[in-house]
Amino acid sequence: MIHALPEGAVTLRRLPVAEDAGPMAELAVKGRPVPQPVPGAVLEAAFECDGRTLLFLTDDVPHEDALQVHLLDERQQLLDSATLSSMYSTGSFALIGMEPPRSVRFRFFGGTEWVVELLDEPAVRLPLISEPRGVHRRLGFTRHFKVHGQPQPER
Amino acid sequence: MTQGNAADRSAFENAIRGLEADIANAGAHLALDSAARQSYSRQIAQMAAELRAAASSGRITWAQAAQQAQETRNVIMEVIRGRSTPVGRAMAEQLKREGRTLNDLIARKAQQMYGNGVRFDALTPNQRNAVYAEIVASAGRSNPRVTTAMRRLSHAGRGLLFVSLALSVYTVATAENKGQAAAREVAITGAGIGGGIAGGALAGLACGPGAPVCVAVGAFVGGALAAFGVSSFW
Repeated sequence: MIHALPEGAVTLRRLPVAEDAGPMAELAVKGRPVPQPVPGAVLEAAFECDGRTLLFLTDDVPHEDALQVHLLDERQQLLDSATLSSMYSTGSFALIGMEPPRSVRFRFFGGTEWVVELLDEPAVRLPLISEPRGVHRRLGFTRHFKVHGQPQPER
Repeated sequence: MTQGNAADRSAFENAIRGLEADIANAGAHLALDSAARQSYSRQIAQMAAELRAAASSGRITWAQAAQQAQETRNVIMEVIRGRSTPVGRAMAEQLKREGRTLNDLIARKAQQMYGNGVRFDALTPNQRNAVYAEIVASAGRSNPRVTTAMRRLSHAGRGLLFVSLALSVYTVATAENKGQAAAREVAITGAGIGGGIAGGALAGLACGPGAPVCVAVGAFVGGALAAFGVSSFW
């Protein structure tokens, strides 16, 4: 069952990066360091579900912000990530709430409510066509969580 | 050569020229949108630097600088969207923005800088100015991931333009009447690019704003039709 991690359970240290690189952060969950740095700069929310940790980070670029969603396994290894972003557009993260057993509902951009649903088993995905508009992932064919949303265009 | 063979060959050559023109069309779209993006990054950085200098020298207050940064940033974004191709504009409009108001930004930055729960009006004047200064600085930043991706696309766009140019040079070099062939290549490539922009704009009107796939298809079809038309009537 999903539950929010208390404030301070996740610590974040912003890492120095090259000027043309996106912000990266070093994380620790309940004092245990996450082995690899992850994209993002500001921790917005953190949840735990069946030993896995679900993190929401933003890039701290207020006029063109991106939301980074990361899922860590029990050993704090990065299982899956997705980015919500769009050129010349921006969002602001607002948590709506948890939807047990495994989902989190929030707003970011696109005039819609987004839902991140954790999956029990990795599911097949097809690059470019399996995600809603504005959701980006690395090239690959599996995912450990789904992002649901029906984003609207600007006008 | 029979009449049927000649017609087939002519249709094939026209199709190849249409493809060449669409390569130039895609390259021009990528190059134009990448140039607009680089211009956007430069302009917002310059705007933030000028406001920072004005506030540092006391010509305006830091609060005024933050306010102006917020407003000017949005104006620059609109101007740059207008300078993008129809495809670029559709990409930019595909998702409704949900930005923060200046007051939201002030509250958020104050908490990031001085701890959760801190109230902006409880800060010292120097601390408040530091919050405003950070808002000015952040208005001068574009998302580096997007800018880097666009820079890569710029290289791809130039590559496509180079391929198109190389094909045109080959066509002219192997033609019997080089002058006529050169004029024809210029006309077809120009029609491909112009037709692509027009096709994208028409598709944008037909599909509504923020439909990049539809607009891209319109740009491709428009470019191919325009090039094919010029090639057929030449």
